[in-house]
Amino acid sequence: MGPFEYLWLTVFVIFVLIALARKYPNELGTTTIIFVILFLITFFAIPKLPGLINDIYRRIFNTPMPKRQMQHLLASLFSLIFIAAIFSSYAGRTFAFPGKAAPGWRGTFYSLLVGMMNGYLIAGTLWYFQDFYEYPITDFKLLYLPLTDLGEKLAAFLPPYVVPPIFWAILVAIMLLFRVRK
Amino acid sequence: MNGSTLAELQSNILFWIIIALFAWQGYQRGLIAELVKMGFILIGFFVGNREVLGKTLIKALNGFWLALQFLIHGGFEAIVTGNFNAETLSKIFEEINKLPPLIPPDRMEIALFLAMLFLIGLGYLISKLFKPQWPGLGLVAGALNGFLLSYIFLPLLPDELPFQLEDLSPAGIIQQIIAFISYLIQLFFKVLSAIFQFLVDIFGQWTIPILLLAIVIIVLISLTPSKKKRSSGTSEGGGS
Repeated sequence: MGPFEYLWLTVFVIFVLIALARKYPNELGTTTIIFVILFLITFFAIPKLPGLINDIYRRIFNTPMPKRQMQHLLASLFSLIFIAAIFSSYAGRTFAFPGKAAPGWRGTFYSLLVGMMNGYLIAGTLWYFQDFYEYPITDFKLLYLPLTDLGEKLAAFLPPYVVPPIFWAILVAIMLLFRVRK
Repeated sequence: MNGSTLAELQSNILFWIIIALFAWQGYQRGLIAELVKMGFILIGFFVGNREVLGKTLIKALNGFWLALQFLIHGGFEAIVTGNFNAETLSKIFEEINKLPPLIPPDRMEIALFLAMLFLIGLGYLISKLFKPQWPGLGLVAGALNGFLLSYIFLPLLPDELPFQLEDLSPAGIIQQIIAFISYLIQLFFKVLSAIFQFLVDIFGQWTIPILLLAIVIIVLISLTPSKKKRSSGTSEGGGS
């Protein structure tokens, strides 16, 4: 398989295309769900969950969980929760924003912007779960390290690294405020 | 035909296409809108040129930035409390002198280019507010705008084209098309990364949060309220 970042670039492009097809009022619902789940994961789950899991593991096996095992568990768990949340935001009754999309090229431009934002948040967060837990996926020989120079540069800008957890809550509040107002 | 001859030919063709397009737009928009657009293009051009207005603009922006830093680093408090003595001032200046300027000299070119693009874009948007009047004169003014924009942007095209038209077999043409597309993708990422780097220089670690906030607000404001009152904002079947 090629460099690590190409996988995420592909995910990014797919979400840009989805946004262009669905139009941005629908995509903003997904954006809100992403902000909510990012807030919950970065504010509560990442700081608290490892300790909780370790306690439970220690009670059962009388020993702390090995570090690599913990990294595998957390990276997989967070990725699954995140993917499930994204899936739920696209399936069935969706959390769309009321209101009409801007006509013509402006509408397409806004859809592109929202698609790029969603693509960055989704691909970037999934990459973050790997990067933060030292790439557990490489143990399955599905992807290979080291990252390329470009990959190293991009990894410094993954959403949870550059956005403070509380900022996700602020963004959710703004989204909901506009949703009610419209 | 070699790359540079082809590039020259392409520039000439592009020059006339741009003039024709802008003349047509001028005919539709009318004289007033085109004159407004021309004003902004000229201001943009002078601002984008470092020898004319560029240096002054950068100096002014860096000056405003320094004044803002002065207020943030205790100047505001000193003014409000009246504690405006030499010791406080020298402490504040000592602190803000360590800070980098908003636009450092090595970022001047990209800053001026962005300022020029911003002004031209602003002129385009403002010109849309005017009702079409005097279409004949608008055609002439539009052609002049096309000429100005060609003068500004055509020299930015590369001297050598990223493809050659020597091998005109199907395989050769496909190869050149791929080379051209890859050139465009690389150029896109180059421009994007230059703009992003410029923003990082200004906002530092807050660049991404500010970008996200800006996108969210711009997009939400652009949504016009539906006329019919809806009971809920949900949609069925994948929200299509």
